[in-house]
Amino acid sequence: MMLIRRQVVALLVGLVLACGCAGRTGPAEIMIVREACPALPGPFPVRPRVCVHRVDASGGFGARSTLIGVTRIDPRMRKLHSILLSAEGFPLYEAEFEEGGFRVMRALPPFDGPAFTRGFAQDVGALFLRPPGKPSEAGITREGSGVCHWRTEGGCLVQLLEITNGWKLTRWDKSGHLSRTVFFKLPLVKGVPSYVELKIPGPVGYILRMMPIRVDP
Amino acid sequence: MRKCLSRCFLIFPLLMAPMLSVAGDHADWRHLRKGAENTRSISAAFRQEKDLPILSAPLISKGRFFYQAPDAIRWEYISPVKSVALMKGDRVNVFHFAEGSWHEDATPGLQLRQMILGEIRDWVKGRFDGGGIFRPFLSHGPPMQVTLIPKNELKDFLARIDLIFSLSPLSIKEVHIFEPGEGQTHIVFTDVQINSDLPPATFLEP
Repeated sequence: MMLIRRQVVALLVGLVLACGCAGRTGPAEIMIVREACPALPGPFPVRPRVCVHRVDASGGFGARSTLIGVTRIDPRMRKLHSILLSAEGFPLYEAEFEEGGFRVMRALPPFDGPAFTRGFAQDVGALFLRPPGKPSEAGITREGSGVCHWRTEGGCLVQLLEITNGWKLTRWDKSGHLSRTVFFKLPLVKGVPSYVELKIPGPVGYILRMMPIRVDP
Repeated sequence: MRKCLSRCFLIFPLLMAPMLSVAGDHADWRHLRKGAENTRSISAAFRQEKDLPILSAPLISKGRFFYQAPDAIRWEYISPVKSVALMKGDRVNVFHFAEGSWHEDATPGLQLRQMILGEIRDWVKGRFDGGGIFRPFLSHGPPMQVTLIPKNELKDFLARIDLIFSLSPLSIKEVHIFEPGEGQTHIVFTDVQINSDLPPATFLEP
């Protein structure tokens, strides 16, 4: 019982606080060896979609849980509407996100704090929206993979890299510390990757493994 | 407040309601309680439709439900996510099937489920007022229907619950849960068996 309680605390602390923590130093060893825009389509939907995902979350001390995520994606307006359901379908959290703001419609504890919403916004943004604006760099790596870099207003570096059977998105904070890694795997299902894995490094980090249950146009 | 918010998700108690068999055509609260006293075990399958405004079609879940007097419950979803909630006394354990094996859930939802399953126990005993947080209304129909209206701040999260009964045998066949927005959950029970012998393994960890 004590172990489970410790696991609960570890997973919770990780989900709520990880947005503010950073892991090992980066950015990566990727070299753009020739200037070219690979025009990466990336793993992000280009048309409006509503995705229902199974979400397996794991954190420190082996804590695990399974949720259902429902997300409406409007890529053109860069708006997201997300609902977290328990495996049984209970609504736990619902919020809308757009550039410069968010609106929480409902949130049960412990999802009702601002730290959770900040981290959640970064997670769903990384999962469903192509980084904003034009890449600051784009090209082909020495290994022949397409790669794009974006510099955010806050000084973060975002890299989208073609990898075998998918893409890898990496985000470093302004200090150069790794803050998020997302693996998107092919094939696409109605424009959505068939498997996504998001990793937050560090002692309060967590991993989200997501598989689409349904994708609506 | 936290307890009250958690109680807004009274789906689980509703799942138990189909099993409250009562005798005769003149069902009332006393008959429902009396029927509950005679319930030794319950076995049922269910289909759940979760309708959200942002979905073009409901999210369909399927599962099974088991109860063994006095206090053992197994609440199982088969799809789209395999999960099992077990309650024995005040102890609740929840398991999810992921990556080829079962894992025990370790989120705060565990506490939520514990409270919800505690409500189920009240329903099994024929207490339809949700510990005083609902105002129940009984309509003889047909079909016979119990409507539960939240009394307090639950109104912010739950608008109404309708329990629709079948007459022969008298048991709840559908549950409709209405959220203040456009969200709805509909549960339809099938293959309801009252007082059948359940294998002891039913209430063991998967």
